[in-house]
Amino acid sequence: MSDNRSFPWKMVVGVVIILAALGILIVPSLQSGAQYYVTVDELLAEPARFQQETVRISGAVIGESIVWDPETDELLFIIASVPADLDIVAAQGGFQASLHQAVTDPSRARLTVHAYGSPPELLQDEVQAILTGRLGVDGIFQAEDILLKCPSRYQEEQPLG
Amino acid sequence: MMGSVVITAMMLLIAAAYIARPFMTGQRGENDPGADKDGQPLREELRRRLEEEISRVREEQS
Amino acid sequence: MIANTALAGLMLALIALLYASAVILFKRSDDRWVESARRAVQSASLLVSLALGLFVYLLLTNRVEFAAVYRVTRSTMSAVTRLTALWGGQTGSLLFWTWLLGMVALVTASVSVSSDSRQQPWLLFFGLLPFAGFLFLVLFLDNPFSRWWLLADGSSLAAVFLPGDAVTVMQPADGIGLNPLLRHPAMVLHPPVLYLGFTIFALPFAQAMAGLMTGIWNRDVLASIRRSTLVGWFFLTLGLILGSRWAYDVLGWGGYWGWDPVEIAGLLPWLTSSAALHLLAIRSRTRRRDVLILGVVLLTFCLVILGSFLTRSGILTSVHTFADSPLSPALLVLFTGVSLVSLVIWILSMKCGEKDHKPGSLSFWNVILDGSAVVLILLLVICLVGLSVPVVGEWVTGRAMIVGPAYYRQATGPLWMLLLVLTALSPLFPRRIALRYESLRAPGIALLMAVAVGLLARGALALSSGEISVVMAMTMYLLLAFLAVREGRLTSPGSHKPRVRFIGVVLIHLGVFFFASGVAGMEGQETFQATLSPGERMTAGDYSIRLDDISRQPVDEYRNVTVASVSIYDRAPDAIHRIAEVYPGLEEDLVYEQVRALPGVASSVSRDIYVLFTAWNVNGSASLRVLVNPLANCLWIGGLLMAAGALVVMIPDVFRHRNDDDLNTIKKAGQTGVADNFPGS
Repeated sequence: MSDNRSFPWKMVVGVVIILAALGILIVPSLQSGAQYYVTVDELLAEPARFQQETVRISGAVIGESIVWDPETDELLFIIASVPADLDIVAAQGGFQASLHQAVTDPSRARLTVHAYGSPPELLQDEVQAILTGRLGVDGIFQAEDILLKCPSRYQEEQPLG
Repeated sequence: MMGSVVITAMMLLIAAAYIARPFMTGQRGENDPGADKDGQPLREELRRRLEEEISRVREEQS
Repeated sequence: MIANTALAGLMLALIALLYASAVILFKRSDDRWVESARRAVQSASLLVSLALGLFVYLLLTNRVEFAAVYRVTRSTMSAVTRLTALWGGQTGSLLFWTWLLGMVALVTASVSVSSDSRQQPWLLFFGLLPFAGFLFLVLFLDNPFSRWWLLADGSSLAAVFLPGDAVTVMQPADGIGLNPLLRHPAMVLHPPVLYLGFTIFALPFAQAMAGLMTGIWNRDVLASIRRSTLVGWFFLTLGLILGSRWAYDVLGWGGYWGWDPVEIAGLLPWLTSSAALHLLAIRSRTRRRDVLILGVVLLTFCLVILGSFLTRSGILTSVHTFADSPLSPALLVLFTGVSLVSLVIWILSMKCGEKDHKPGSLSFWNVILDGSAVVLILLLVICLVGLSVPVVGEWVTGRAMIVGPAYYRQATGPLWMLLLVLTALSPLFPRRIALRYESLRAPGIALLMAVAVGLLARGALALSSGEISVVMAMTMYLLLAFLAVREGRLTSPGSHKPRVRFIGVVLIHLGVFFFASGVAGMEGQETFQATLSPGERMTAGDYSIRLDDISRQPVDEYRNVTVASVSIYDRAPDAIHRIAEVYPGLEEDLVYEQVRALPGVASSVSRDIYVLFTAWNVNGSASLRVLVNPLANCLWIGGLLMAAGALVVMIPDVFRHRNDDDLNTIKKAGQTGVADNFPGS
């Protein structure tokens, strides 16, 4: 058998197999599973590109735009552009303030979102929506997945005396 | 306010007394998990040697 | 007065811990000093318990002038709900977590968790280290006793002590109550059980560190590490199952695991502790392997702290996160510190380990156990890669990115299946499998029978291929386990006492198979959607669903709930056989301004019919979403079996006589004879 000083073949082979297995499992999964974040502005700037690519986009939900058709089970709502840079968000006064500004500022870029399924319970005005999907040729974003970030307002909220 | 000062002082004194006790009596506590009954160093040395011997015997047997 | 007392207590506790650590670092050779340090740790644990008790008192008495109480309670809550509010918010849960670490420190200071007294000082030290770290965070970064102050300009501020221009302590009219998503029976248990699982790993961490520092990790030390790891594993498994169940019931998408970063953070220590348990099951032939195992144990606790950081920092987008916490940098520092210390000590120990004199022969048992551990570690690596993509990916590609569930499913899928295969083969221990007819005959027959059962199941029950594979693997496992019993490997040599531990292990693996079948079944989940007026029906797979009635009731001044009565029938031509009646609802919380769906579920082992009331429309009709979840309950049955199995494995330890007597050691050595490879003999 092997003694201390001979080349540890068994270990090397084992390590190579393990690394290869990891590579085979991780790399293709990353390619198919990784999603890039974009803002509404970035999406609208290059519509052709984002019709091909599945992306994650974040925006502030405009509550009054939420429309749901129970017959066809289709959901439509509009999101307003929010800055991706956390420093800018902080400068605007925090997440809650940033979302509020996005919704109330008429000059912000807006995007119409279409999805199937009934409105999630958290889908409300001034909530941050993180959507996964593609831009359709009609300019409407087809969302496959909707993630709504729990409003942090109850953390920041000041009590009434 | 006074109440919390009093209670704090009490907590401090009790804790300090409890923590400093080993220096006052010079003995290990009764519920000390590390203590052996008597003459620890020698006994542990013996035990360790015995365990090593047992492991060695087992290795040879297997 | 309560707040001040509690604060003083916490402060004293921290000072005591600092004292204890200084003593151990500089004076550990003197028994009196070590004894004093031990007492200091005990005092600290008790003081933190006092502070926790006082905080709970504040919760029970609705003292909403305290910010942490305000954020999770309101006057309409019952006493029990108030207790659960302890872990319903960021601050309270941190205090609770710290208290649990204090309990672990108390154990290291009070109970002999190591048979070797030389470990004691280091055991104390590494037991108090995490406790002190989190206590620091509680005191200075997220204090539960901070109050609302009314400032001169009319605004309010939360702080521990009087801010400069404050007028007085503010007394809010009422608190805001618990987040509606948290009001669920599983939520009552999930956080404390999960926290128990996480924090208990501080004990094997301390034991492993003590072992590495003293260079002593004999069989007894490893056995006690195995025991404490198992206890942590038990609670962690239970906690993860409860969390899954909560997600299934409450989050409204009929799923049980979303590969959410916070979920994954909880899974990581489970993977490594499972690996550690497998590695600890057989005695190592080399010290080097032992050091490797200890490294896995250390890694487990480091991952616990990492998980704490990931959850509380909000660094990864998740439904769970408490947003924008001031704790983030501090937790990151804590994680880095603990990991670095562990890594350095571990590497030094690896270098000092003896060289192998006997390269271990590749026994089948070793391959199975160590192979399982390797697969679990690989799963860990995949998850870590996925979690780090948001951070690393942006740095490399310049674009913000993230990985979705698709990555995890694709990358981990084959490994889970490999794990199932290894599990199915595991009862073949501790044979040395040679390619001879005699040793292959019995397993071969078991394999054939498993295939036969699989074909039968496919024909008779129309199961999917995923479900069939699990059935086959489980059959193989049971047959091989039965073989092990028949060959007498279930009893100790020389006695007829059943190997309780083996029974426990079989139960755990049986649970794994049940869980796996649940996973396979849920892949075949179907969704149906319709809008119905009262009296109308919809079709959902093999079932016919009828909306009977809708009614609206207020629950209390803050909540209303609208309930739909729904009947489920077999989809026969006339469909008169009613299977179940369920009551999905929509609950409105006026304070949180949230509406949450309360599903109505008809459960059986073979499937769940999961009905969601998604909208109550103006024309009086209700929109329903129906999910048919095959084998959903196998998930929970499997999880509970795993936990129960762990309890069974722990039984012999409860009745074990701890005996330092030399005579007994000799007696045992004589009896057991040949290399005894059963766990914890």
